[in-house]
Amino acid sequence: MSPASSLVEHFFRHEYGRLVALLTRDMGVRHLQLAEDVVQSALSRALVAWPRSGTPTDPSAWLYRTAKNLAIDTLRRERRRQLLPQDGSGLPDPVMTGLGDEDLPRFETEIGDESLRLLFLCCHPALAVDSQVALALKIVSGFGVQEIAQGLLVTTSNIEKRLSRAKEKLRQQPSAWIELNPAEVLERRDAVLSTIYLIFNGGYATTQGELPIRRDLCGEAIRLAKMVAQHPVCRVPAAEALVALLLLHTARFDGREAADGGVVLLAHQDRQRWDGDLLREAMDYAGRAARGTELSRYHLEAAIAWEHCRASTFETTDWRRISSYYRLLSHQHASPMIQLNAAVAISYAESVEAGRERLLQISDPERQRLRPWWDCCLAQIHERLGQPTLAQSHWRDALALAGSPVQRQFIQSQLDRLSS
Amino acid sequence: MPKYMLIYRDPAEPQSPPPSPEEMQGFLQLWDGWFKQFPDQIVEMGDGLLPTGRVLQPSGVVADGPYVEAKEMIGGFSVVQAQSYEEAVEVARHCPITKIGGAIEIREFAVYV
Repeated sequence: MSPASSLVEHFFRHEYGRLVALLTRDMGVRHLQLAEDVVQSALSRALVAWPRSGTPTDPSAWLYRTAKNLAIDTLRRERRRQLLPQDGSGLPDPVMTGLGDEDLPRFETEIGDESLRLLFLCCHPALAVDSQVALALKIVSGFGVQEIAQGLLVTTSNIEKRLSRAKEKLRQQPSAWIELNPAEVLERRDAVLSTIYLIFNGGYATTQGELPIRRDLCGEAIRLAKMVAQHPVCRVPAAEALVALLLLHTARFDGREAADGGVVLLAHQDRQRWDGDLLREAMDYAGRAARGTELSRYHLEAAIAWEHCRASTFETTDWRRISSYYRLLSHQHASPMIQLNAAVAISYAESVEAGRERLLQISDPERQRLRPWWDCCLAQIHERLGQPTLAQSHWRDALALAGSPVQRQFIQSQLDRLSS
Repeated sequence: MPKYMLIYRDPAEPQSPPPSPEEMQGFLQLWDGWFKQFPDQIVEMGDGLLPTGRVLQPSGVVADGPYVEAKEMIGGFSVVQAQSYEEAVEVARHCPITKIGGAIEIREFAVYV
């Protein structure tokens, strides 16, 4: 008997997504909720059975069989209730036919395809972007409602609302099956990449204590991005650039984290702690991403991240190049965060004053969305200009706006440093 | 040595939101750990019980399901052997059922037969 500890990390979570994908393929999108319910039940049964009888030799097959049988039972029961003595009952039911297929999926690639198709379903144009993110995390990645809420820093009821809205929208769609034609794949690919990017950002933003769930979100985003980047139909340079970008960020995780759980600023990070294996893998993807003529925002962001990674010290960072990448990026995707980062880059590439000018040019509504980060950047700039009193005043503004203990702790430490 | 049945009384209301796959895998580890922790005491790992059932009244009336008004539902059982109730309770105390809000009823076998 093999113990549960022999299961690989995140086995249940990955199985959840894989099984929902397979069952949705078999039963159609309108049975998405049923697919989720039976997979949940199959996992519950494993919880009772496996400690007692031992983990099956092929736990994936065990779960699939169990979930499939539960689905068939439920559908039969429903059918008996709904259309008992109906003529034409001999007609094959596409749902049951799909499930009747005894073949277990044997090929890893096939499984990948199903999950990928489910991911594309989540990025259906009828769904709001925040619903797409929540739905992908729930049904493709197998996160629980609470975990998604923690990862994205919103309430569980917010996530539940997003999910039920998304599922309702999908139920209303005319097509009951996940069939994507190449045109639809092309049309949704950008949305898929941006959903993956948002998942990663959700995990990356250190606005709350370093919960392990946040790293899981980042890891999951990388898994999904690789799935897209390795698929023959979806593989485009933008997808490869996205993988490179996410790996470059992840490589710096350990360096970013202080011993007390706080954040270490780029300038003070121990670059020896950056993960060389991940950096090499990122360069592999970056090399492939460079093959086309496409220059997506992911290319530019990866190029910026790479500039930071390749500098052996903060002082040797090539800020001119970074600044020029930001200029290109702001033509493509002028988000407030990019404007903020561009201003910081200018403060190093040109002059501190030019950086300050750029910060002050950010319009008021956008500034509001960036606070307290905007205040922190301005405080640092005043410090570099030799104006400690102004710096202190901006750090204090930032402190008043800080949303989480980690933020507050970081800003307080800056204030303490200035007053000592 | 006296035997005791551990009767798992799960909360009748399902957990909301339901446990995530990650949490469930964690529970699996806990069960494994529990069985490993008490190899001499746990003689029968038992089984789970499905939430649906029938209730047969002495009058012969058969109703669906366990008592719906109950706050807890018997979800499974195991059998342990122990020198005393204290020891049996100690084994139960480490059982993962308690982590999901379930109570455990501990009953000594009468050994009438």
